[in-house]
Amino acid sequence: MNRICPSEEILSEYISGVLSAEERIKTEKHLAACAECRKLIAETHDIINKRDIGEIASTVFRWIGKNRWLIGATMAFASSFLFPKYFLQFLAATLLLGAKCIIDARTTRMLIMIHDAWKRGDKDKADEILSRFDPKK
Amino acid sequence: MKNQIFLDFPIKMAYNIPVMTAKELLQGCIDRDAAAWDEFVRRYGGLVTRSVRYKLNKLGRHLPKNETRDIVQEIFLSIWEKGKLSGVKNTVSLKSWLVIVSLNATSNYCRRHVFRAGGTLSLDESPFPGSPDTKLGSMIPSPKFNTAKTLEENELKDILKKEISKLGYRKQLALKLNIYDGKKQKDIAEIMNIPEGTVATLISRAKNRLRRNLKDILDM
Repeated sequence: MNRICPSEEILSEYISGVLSAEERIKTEKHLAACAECRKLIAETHDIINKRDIGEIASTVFRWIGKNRWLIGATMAFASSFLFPKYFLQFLAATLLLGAKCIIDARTTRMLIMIHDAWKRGDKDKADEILSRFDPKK
Repeated sequence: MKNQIFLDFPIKMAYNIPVMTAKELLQGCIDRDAAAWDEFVRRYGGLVTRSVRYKLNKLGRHLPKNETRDIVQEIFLSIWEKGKLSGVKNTVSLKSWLVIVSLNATSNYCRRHVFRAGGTLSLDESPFPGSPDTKLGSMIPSPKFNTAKTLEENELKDILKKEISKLGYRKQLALKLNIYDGKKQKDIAEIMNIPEGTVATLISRAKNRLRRNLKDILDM
C-alpha cells in the first residue's frame, strides 16, 4: 500500500458496508484509482464468501471425527441387515458403539462432571450449576 | 475458580449459549484479557490460516506447513503486541479486517523472504511477489517480437487507460473490478453494497461511453 491508501480498518468497514457516506465516497474514489487496494478488497471478498476445497474437506473430516461413534453404530446396524448371517454380531457391535456414543456425548460428560462436583461435597456449587440447567432462564 | 470455568463452559456449550459475543471478545482482547485472547485465536485462527494460504497460492509460493503456521503466529503476535484491535470500531467488519491484515502480512512476509533461499527462479515464477502474472519467462522477448506492433498496442492501452480515468469514480470502480479483477456483477454488487442491477447499469454505461469516445480513434 502506498502512503495515501486508506487504512485496513477503513477498507474492512467499506467491504462490510458500515462506512459513513462521506468516507464511502472518498474510499470509492481511491479504489477506482488504486489497483493494489482494489485487488485487496477483491481478494477479501473471495476469502469471506468462498470456502475452498481444503476448508470444506477439513470441516467434513472434523464432523466425521466428532461423530465417529454414531457413524460406526449406524454402519454396524445397517450391516446387520446386509449380512444376515452375522446379524447378532453386528447388533452387539451396534449396541457397544451406541453406548460409547452416549458416554462420549458432551451432555453426558457434563452430567458426569456435575455428579463429580456433588460427590465432592460442594452442594451449594452443584445447586448453583443445577439452577442454570433451566434453559428458559 | 478453575473448577468454575471447567464446569461453566460445557453447560453453556450444551445449551448453545454463546460463551462470548464478538463485542465482548473484542473488548476483552483490547483490555488484554488472556482468556478472551485465547478464545479470539481459537475462533479466528481458521480464517487467518485460510487467508494466508489463499495469498500464498495467489503469489505462487508453496511454503511448508510449519512456515505457514509461522506466518499465522506472526500475524496474531503483531495484533496482540501492537494492540491493533483497538482500531476496529465495528464487530461487523472484524472478519474482513482480519482477512485484510492477513493478506497484507503474507505479502510483506513473501517480499521479505523472496530471495532468502538464494535459489533461482524458474521461468514460470514471478520475481515480484505482488504480481504473479508477471512471469519471468514473459519478460524475455520472443523470437517473433514485433516492435511496431507492441508500440501500437501500448499506445492503444494508454489511450484506453486515459479514457477510463475520465469516467465517474463509481463507473470506473465497477468496470475495473469487472475487467481487471475478473469479478462477476454479483460479486461487485456485494463489494460495493449496491443492487446487482445498478452494477449492470454502471458497467454498460461505462462501456457505451468508452465505445463512443474510442470510436474515432479505432476508425483511424
